[in-house]
Amino acid sequence: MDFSFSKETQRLREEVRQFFDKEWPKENRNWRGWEQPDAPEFLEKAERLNKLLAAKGWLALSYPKQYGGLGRTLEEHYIFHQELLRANAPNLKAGCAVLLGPVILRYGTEDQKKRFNTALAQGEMDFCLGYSEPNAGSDLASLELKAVRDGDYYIMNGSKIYTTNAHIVRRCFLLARTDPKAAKHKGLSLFIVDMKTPGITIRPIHCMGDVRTNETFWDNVKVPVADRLGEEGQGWRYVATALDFERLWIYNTIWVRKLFDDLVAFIKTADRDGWRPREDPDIRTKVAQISVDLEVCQVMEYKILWMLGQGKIPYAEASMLKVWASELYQRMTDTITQALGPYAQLSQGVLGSPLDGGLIQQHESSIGATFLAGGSEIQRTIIAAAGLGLPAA
Amino acid sequence: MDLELTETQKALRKTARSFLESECPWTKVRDFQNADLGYSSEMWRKMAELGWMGLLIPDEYEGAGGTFLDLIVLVEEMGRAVLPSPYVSSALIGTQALLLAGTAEQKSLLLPRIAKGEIVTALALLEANPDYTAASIKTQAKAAGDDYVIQGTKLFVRDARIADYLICAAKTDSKAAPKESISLFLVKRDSPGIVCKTHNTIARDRQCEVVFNQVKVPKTSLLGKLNKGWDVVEHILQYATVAECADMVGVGQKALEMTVQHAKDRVQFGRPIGSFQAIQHECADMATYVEQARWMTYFTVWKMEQGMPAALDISRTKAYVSEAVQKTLRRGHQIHGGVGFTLEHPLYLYYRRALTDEVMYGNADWHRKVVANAIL
Repeated sequence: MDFSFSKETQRLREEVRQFFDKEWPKENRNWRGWEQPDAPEFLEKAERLNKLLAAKGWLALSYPKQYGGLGRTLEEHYIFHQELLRANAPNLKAGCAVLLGPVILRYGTEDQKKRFNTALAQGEMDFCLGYSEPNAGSDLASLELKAVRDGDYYIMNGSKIYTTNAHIVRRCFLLARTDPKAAKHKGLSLFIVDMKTPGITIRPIHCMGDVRTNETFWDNVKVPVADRLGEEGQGWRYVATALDFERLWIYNTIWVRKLFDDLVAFIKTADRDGWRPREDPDIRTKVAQISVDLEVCQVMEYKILWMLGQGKIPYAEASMLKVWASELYQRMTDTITQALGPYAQLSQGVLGSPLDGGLIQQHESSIGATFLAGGSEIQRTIIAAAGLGLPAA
Repeated sequence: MDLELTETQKALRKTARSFLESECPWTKVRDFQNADLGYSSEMWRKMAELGWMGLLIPDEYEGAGGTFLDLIVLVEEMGRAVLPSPYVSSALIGTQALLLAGTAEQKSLLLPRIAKGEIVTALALLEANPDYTAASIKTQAKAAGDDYVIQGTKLFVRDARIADYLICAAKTDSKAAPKESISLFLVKRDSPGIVCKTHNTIARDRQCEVVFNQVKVPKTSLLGKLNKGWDVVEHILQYATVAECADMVGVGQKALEMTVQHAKDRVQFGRPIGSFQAIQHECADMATYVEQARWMTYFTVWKMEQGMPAALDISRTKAYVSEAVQKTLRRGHQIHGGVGFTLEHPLYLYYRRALTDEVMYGNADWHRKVVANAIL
């Protein structure tokens, strides 16, 4: 058994780390900025960084060379992504390349791989996810947005919700109903829709934790057949694959650890008129437990990464990690909030505010972690069925 | 990265599982526990024939020259079978102590006999303040001519009654700092002055109170350097702690499997209870705990085998595994309901084994303090 990364991977990690130290310096790193990816100043900096990353070929490290990648291993791609998150660097494009790119490589046509994977590699492609609808959340397969075939096009009608980043990205991974008569999982198809297509309207929804998402309305939107991914009626299967990738990459927990390290550094130095939280035995015990639980996450990530590298699909393991990491994110922000007492509630710009408002922003953001991308209850049901073979409810 | 077990480890796991399933079903575990010695000497002989006793002992001392992970894989299976045996005391703790600190003579005298299963060793460490620190050692060993004379009382000594040799930690310097004042002695269990009384513990696992009443041992029985024994203790405790985790992983895995099977078989309200999400989600958490406990253990073992600093990983692992397996057993009992509470069902053996593993070698709180002191 060997948990170590190859020499090449370790070299790459070092190179990537140095790159971010130079190109995404400390003053760009905070615990609020990357939750507001549409601020013009942030977008400009992010765009500059993405161009540099694309020039290095790192956005598509593990893609085959003919689609703009470097043909390196999944392990190396993971390490790159870890370092990107550790540097608090913008992760919209890099995230799309690593979450959704592999699904296109797996199920897309030659033309789609050329168009989308190559563009992802060049930092010129990004996506939003058109999965959830107002009446289809956890029961995603009951979604209603209609796609009706009309010659070389499909005509889309309906609405999507929580289409985060819809207002700034180029394309949407849209799950739509192509066969209303088929069983609910079987009548779905997946499309990669150009967000400039006439008929799409976007309404912003502002959330806790300074997060912005959207509702999108689809009114006779004409989508070319060439933008359907894979076969008609197989959309559910493709999305399930995408979700398995997503659970690993979204919960690449390095940034939760980074946040924890920054908060621990704050606790260690907090000393205001005799108030020294690091000396409180209860706080020490609780902070130590978070450190234990973070190590658990890291080890499970290694296991999943290794399985993916072996071509195995970590159905139960990915759900275990998602539940554990999201619940830990909440436990962590909650534990530190309690440890810091009245100071914990301070926002940006107030003296003594932990991570200059970063704690309270992350605390609020963490509320969403246990229900987005498949809630904890859905994940536990997956573990029970896929991992343990328990009978359907 | 390669997280596969080696072919040897896979074969070892397979052999161990089928051997223990046929030789040590849970009803026999109960019989062994009720018997005078607390284990089966007949099974012990068969285990020795399989080469298990000398797994960590190098070739030159007639062992198998295996790795720590080999042993961990085996201990996991022993936990799975709730096997009562002095295996860890002898094949891990005694063996490691001798390999690390023993003289050439001590090694060639004892290791081949450990490897053959002819002798058993036990660690006599804890006392009335069982906090795993050097300062808590009050037992004294005083030089007297060619001998040392040991005086004191040891508690929670696993396998002392069936041991041939005790490894006893005693104070040999009354002035130095605690960590610089402890020495280890290899003491024959039948030395005059040793009185051994079995504690009646929840897991019936033959822990003993061992009284050393003016026990005379020759100076040659010093194991390692004078006053440097605590370094050896810390080293063997690391191994013992991780082995305890592997035992718990085996315990948790079997409890999970029994519970999932029960949830599939048990019909209430006209359907298997495993079809209720209230039950499914509890089972999902059990599976998560056991999976995570196993990989935390393997990760730490890997670091130790690589010679990387692992003290913090060991503490994180013991803190996690202790509570994860305890929670697994609690949920297992909840899902089994009444039947799992009876002594006609094996689950109680697993609960008791998990409990003893949890409190030994530092419970979760003890290890959290280690982590806190390192990071805060």
